[in-house]
Amino acid sequence: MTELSVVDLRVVLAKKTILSGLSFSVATGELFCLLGPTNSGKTTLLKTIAGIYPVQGGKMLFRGEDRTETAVGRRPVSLLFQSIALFPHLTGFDNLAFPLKRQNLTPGELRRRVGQIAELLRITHLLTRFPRTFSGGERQRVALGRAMIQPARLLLLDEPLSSLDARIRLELRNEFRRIHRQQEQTTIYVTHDPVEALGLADRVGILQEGSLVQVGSARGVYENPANEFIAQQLGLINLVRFEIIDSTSAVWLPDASVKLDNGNAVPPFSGGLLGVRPEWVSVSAAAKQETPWPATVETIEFSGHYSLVSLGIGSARLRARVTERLLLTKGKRVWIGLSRAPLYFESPQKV
Amino acid sequence: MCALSINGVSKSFGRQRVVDDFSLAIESGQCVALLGPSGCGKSTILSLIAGFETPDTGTIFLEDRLLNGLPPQERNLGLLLQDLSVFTRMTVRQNLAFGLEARGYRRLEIARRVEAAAARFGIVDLLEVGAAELNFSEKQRIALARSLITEPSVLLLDEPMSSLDAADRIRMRSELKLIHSELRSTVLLVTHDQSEALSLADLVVVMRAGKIEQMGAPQAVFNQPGNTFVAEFLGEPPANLFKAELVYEGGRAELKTASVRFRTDRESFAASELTVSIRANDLKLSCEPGPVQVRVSDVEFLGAEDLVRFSLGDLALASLTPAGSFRAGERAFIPLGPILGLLLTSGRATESTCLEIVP
Repeated sequence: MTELSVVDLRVVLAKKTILSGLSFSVATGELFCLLGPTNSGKTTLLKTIAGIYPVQGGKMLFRGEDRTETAVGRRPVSLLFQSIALFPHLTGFDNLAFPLKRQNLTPGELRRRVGQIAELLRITHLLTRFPRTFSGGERQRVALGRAMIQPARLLLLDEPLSSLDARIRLELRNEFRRIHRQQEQTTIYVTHDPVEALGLADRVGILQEGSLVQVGSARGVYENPANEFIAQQLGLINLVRFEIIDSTSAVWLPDASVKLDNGNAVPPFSGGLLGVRPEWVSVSAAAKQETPWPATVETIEFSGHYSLVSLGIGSARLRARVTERLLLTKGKRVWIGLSRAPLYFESPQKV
Repeated sequence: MCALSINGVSKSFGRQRVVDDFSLAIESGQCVALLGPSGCGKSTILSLIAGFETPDTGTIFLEDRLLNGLPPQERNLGLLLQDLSVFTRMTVRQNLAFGLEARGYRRLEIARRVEAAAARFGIVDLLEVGAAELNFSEKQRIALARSLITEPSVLLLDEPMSSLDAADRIRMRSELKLIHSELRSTVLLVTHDQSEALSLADLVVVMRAGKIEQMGAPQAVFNQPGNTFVAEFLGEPPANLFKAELVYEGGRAELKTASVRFRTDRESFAASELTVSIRANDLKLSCEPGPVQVRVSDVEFLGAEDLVRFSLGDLALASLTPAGSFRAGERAFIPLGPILGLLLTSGRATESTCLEIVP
């Protein structure tokens, strides 16, 4: 079933067009991640779906029903804002129970519902305590619990983990993943962190200046981004100028002085940017068929189970993700190659 | 020469001791990272050095000058904070010149240094632009250039990349690394992002609760964590950690959990209760049928690879595999052969070991 369809949405705030021509749909049970840089319209889109902002054009259908004009609060959604506001004078229990207040539940039923969500989020130990004694991660868990306790058909999350430190973010991401697999709560999740989007999403939508420029599976958009802007949003990528040599239709990289021989995978345009993710660059100590080009190690950034190695080749620089325990030192001569076909982008947008 | 030395410094806020008898010496030209979870006291140490906070006990020396009691502006430190604090009502040139003017440099010298810094940081074209018009990564570059233009003895960086997008963060990281290797300035970096600390620093100081848990070269703390906290904290994704008992089966040493046994080549380990650590990238999975079968419970796409979660007996484990190799619900096999692991016990040095699953 389709939980939400957004059709040709246009939103203008303070005479500025924030969103235009935006269409997508979210299936029931799906976790849909909206990824984009600052000011791309992510938060505006979420708030528009919640009914906080009016629209200047287009429609929003909830399970096929047009709710474009439905007032905020009467839509089947639950929104968690980026800045968490727990009630400081209420315990963890009362904070979680707050959205259920109007339902006149019996005390037993209320305890059951709060207990259930607390167990799911592993915050049972916080129920009798006040928010000032919570850590950042605990606060975020309680806020998430409050957004989830009243089962809405659609959960809207605005950068729920962005204010946390790296370690807690990783833990909560895993937790959230586990809960979503268990509950299959339809969710739109806004983030600017590609690792979060790729790791969590069933599908990812990339926003650029108020337009949705690509939608696809996490692996699909990462490995086959539609343009180099999207490629960069999803993770580190090397971009190198290329030209097609007309006589042979081979791909020539003028900066690296390298001719690529990749059979039929020649792009249908005469030049542009070649995109290579760092993990597609193979590095070896000797010249081999898979690693035919000489390069020089410029910098090595140790990063734990891999190192990001900058390699000079001609006047170009390629970054490789090296996981083997190679003995690399600055200035060392190595041989490199590509482990899969590169991406070709026609006209440079932003490099 | 020692550029900065911190000797037995403690600081409490109310009843909470945030920095607890902390000592650290930073060599000239070194880049040192204070790494730890939020609330471990790393930012407070930076504030104590900068002079925004006063230590309860202990001394701080910049080269041979005692900093205790000196106001912040007299400490000859460069400072780059999380929020950058670029003056948006000024042009880039005025921003760069600000610190030099405040220190009473001559006009010609100011102009010379501003031009040099602009060239070095690739912002020559931006000099006359109002800072309010800059995008975030430009602001970041201006802030960094400004903090270095007074040629401070030590540059203090407080989570300088935490508010950047992931792609910009890696770009900025490489830029910082390059600048540090060129200028050989002394840098103290505070961060909760381990890849930042590991890739930038010559010396990583892992902190918890106001104290140092371990310090050493990045490779050393990553590959030889001194205790379970460091082993658990360092590693994205985290290492597989579990408790095991050392027993002898038919004269051979084995590590036993409730339902899994590993052969180990460490025969003479004093303690019998151990924590075993296996990195997700050292634990391989294969589709080739073999005696050790597991069922994949979850596959998380991380971009460069997949994190595959599975259970082996009573152990919940994770393995890094090439993207798209396995799906949730499928069978997979752990190939027989040595698996690199670490053995940790309290009060003893960590030892590496080769483990073999007993089918």
